[in-house]
Amino acid sequence: MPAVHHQDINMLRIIALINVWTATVFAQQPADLTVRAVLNNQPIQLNRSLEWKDSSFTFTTLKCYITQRHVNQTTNAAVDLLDWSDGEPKMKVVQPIEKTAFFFGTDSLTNVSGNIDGPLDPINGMYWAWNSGYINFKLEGYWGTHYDQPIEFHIGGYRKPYATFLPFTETAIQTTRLLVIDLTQLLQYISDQHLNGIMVPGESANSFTNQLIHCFQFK
Amino acid sequence: MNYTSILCVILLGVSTILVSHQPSGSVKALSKKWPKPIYDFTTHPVSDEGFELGRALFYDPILSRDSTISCAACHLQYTGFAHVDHTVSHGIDGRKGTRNAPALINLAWKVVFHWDGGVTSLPLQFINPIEHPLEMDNQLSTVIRKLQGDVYYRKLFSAAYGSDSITSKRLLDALAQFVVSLESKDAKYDRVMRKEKGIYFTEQEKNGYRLFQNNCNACHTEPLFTNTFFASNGLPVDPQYNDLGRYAITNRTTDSFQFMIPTLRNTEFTFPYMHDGRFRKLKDVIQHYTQINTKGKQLHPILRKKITFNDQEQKDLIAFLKTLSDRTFLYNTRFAFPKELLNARKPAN
Repeated sequence: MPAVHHQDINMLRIIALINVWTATVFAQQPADLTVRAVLNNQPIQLNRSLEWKDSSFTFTTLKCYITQRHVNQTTNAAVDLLDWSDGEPKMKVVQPIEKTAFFFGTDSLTNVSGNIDGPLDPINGMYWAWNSGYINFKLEGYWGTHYDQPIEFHIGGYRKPYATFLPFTETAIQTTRLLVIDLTQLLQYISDQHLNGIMVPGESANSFTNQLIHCFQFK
Repeated sequence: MNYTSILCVILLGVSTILVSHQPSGSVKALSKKWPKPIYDFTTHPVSDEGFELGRALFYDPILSRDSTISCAACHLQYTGFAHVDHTVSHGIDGRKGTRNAPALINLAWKVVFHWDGGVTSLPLQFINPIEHPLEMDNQLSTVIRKLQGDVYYRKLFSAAYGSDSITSKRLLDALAQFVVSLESKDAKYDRVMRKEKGIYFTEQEKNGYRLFQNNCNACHTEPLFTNTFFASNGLPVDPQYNDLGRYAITNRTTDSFQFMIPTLRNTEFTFPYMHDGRFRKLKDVIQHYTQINTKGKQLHPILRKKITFNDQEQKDLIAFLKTLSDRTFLYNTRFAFPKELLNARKPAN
């Protein structure tokens, strides 16, 4: 067995340290998660007519807040605003993804903290000034080929009993790289209920959110 | 470093923090009962530069869509930063709102804002007038773009925040720095409470004060002259507005027709009164309280006890209310229109 010199041992120690550091750092590095909104298996693009039964539906605005927390933690690790106005959005995931809990919307503390940096900047058009708080989900569009059947949903609210901050029922696994928001059932709900808009927190917004929360699926 | 040096450093730090909370010109001595502010001056400190930037923005119509309406259009200093003689306020293109513009006084002691308490943050409050279609009808992003193209404002932002980057956070913070500094604590009432030499209530004011304490103080609580809560005070609903008050925010039926209890400081100048400005004179307000239907469904419990004032008592009560007029505040040049605005603003090339 060849003798091991001190220099070699030191080199091995350095390499081991680098390996540990690399593993630690990269394990914590956020990874991109593609977020795909679909309607009847058709990827949603704004201002593009999508087939809907015998007619069509066109989304003109689609925005959504997602909050991430480490599992069993009550403090937020990240708040993201997903906005389809520039195409399919991506979201940085707090690692490790399998130990990250995902929530729809923004929690009450985020709504009252006064921190308006980045995705929380009111300039993003997701802040209700008259009733302080964030619009957690914004869906605007119209049925058919004309703009005379518009719908407008600004869903928010952080005060009980009208809080719309809810955990995903789906959980991500280590290999998850795609979050699909399938709005087919939601649009069916809107159609069945003959809704053309919700603009304030309340029972209607809560019922809407209870439908919406089932639209999120990790792939 | 010895203990004395450490102590000096700590004291210097504490005094620096305290000074940063009180821009020059604040009233020095306060009456004993004055509470601590609600506003968090630690996370939102007020600096002289931030205050001056906020003052310029407050008086500048640049915030509105067509540069015609400023904050000061509805909040005039000489009337306690209320909109004198307007039942409801007029915004851009002469559009009328649905509520009376409230006085901007001692806002550091308020938990929530607006007549319905829907706004929970003073800096974020400013988005309302800027973006409301009946007020300034603008977009925050447009305002920022306009300010970025203005040499005068780039200088002011740079002085206040260390760089000329103009963001919504800085814009809203600067406006808050000015508005939160609008402290009124130097009325005759305050001087009497501070036992200043030679300052006394007259006999009429004394009687008015007694009547006030017995009938009004539960809601218009000293020394802020508001308990900062909400109440339904028995006003019949104006069908023109059908304003449900706080119900619109909480969706609780028990909050129907409840409105913020306003401060009575400088009330002599903040007419017309009530959330829809329906009363022009203090006498009208007092008479309303003597004529309330005490069996009204939504009425605040404290008003179920009949209030009676004879003619002389009404005059005495008004005499006391006038001791809440603070001319130091109303004529303080620090809060006035900044003359630099007239000629300093030049568009960028």
